[in-house]
Amino acid sequence: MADCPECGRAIEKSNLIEGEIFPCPDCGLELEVTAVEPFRVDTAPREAEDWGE
Amino acid sequence: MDDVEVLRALVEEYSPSGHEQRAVGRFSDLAIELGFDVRTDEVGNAIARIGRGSPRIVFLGHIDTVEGVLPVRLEGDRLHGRGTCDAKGALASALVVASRHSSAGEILIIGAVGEERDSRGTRHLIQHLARPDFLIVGEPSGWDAVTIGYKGNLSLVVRVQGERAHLASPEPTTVEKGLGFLEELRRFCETKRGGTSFDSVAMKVHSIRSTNEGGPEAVELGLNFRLPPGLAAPEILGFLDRFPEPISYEVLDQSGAVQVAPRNEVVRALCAGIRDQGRRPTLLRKLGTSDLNLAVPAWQCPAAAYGPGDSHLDHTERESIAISDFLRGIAVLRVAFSRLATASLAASPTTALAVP
Repeated sequence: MADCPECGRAIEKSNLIEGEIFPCPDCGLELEVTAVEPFRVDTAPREAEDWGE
Repeated sequence: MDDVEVLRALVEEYSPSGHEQRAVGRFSDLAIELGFDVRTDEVGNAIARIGRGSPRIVFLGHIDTVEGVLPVRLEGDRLHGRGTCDAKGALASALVVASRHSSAGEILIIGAVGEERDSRGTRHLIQHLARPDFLIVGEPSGWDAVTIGYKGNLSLVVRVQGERAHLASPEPTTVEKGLGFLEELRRFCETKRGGTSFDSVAMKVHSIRSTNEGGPEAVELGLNFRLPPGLAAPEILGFLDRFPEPISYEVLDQSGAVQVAPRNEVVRALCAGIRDQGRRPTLLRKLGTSDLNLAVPAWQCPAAAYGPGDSHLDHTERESIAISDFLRGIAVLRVAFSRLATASLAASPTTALAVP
């Protein structure tokens, strides 16, 4: 079990795998599974465009 | 020598493409002092190696810069100088982190030559260096971002030929034919527009030169295309080949777009380092081009581009890097190298994706 870093909702490990992105069931924030043992989630990376090299 | 002194030492050796030898020597001396085995390959790339065994992590930086000397000076938190951002900040940060490597695996820190011109250093490496298990290309993404894609590049000179005509005649001049050709080309590019800038082709005209040798006239157009995934250079060249006016062209450089899998092991390791510094990471798709475009199709390994520094300062007279960002980049790479050194190779063999 881990907590959503935004709203604190308890997240169950279920069948999630490391690197998987999923929305928090309560607040909808995109979360990423950062570790499986022990189970940890964090906010998923943002995605953006940039004109640089 | 502290971490900032390593960066400053690299920056103080001015090293525009084609004139990297002194900087390669300085890099090699620093790396030996920091405990690496160092060699220089046939084209002049500096390769610093530390550790042994598996996995093999390659940090592919470049030691050359664009031309234009800038006085090296530290003002407050910023180090100014050519190459601080593009890309000696990235190279220096990787060098100091890898010098403290003591766990399993081998790390290669490479100062490649020629990246700003024809990437001759990396073109040689992808032919002669064994495929790494993990690859980080050293370019300024900003300390809290990871670059996961670059557009492709097609650079060419188009020559539109014609005959001198009286300016009172109804016939268009050769210059007008050249401008008409550009309009046709722009319309063609419009048909390749995607949902984002990264997914659209962009065309720039960077030079126009007209010549007149008596009757025959010509207009030379210097063109650059930034290619999205799924659009290869031959499609643009095919349009030129079908153009009804008498034109010829010379391709100066070309490479395809590249996108890596956004959750590959290297991206996740760098994101872990950014989160460790208390920041939510950003994954960037860039409209420019780097050696990632060449290395990923060749090596097909988990990869990303990373380095501290603001790439909007690249090639400008304001090129500089915040020391605080440089130090955060070191902290991020420390976590990333540590994770990759203990990563399971079986979990990530095919997580890089190259787009032709």
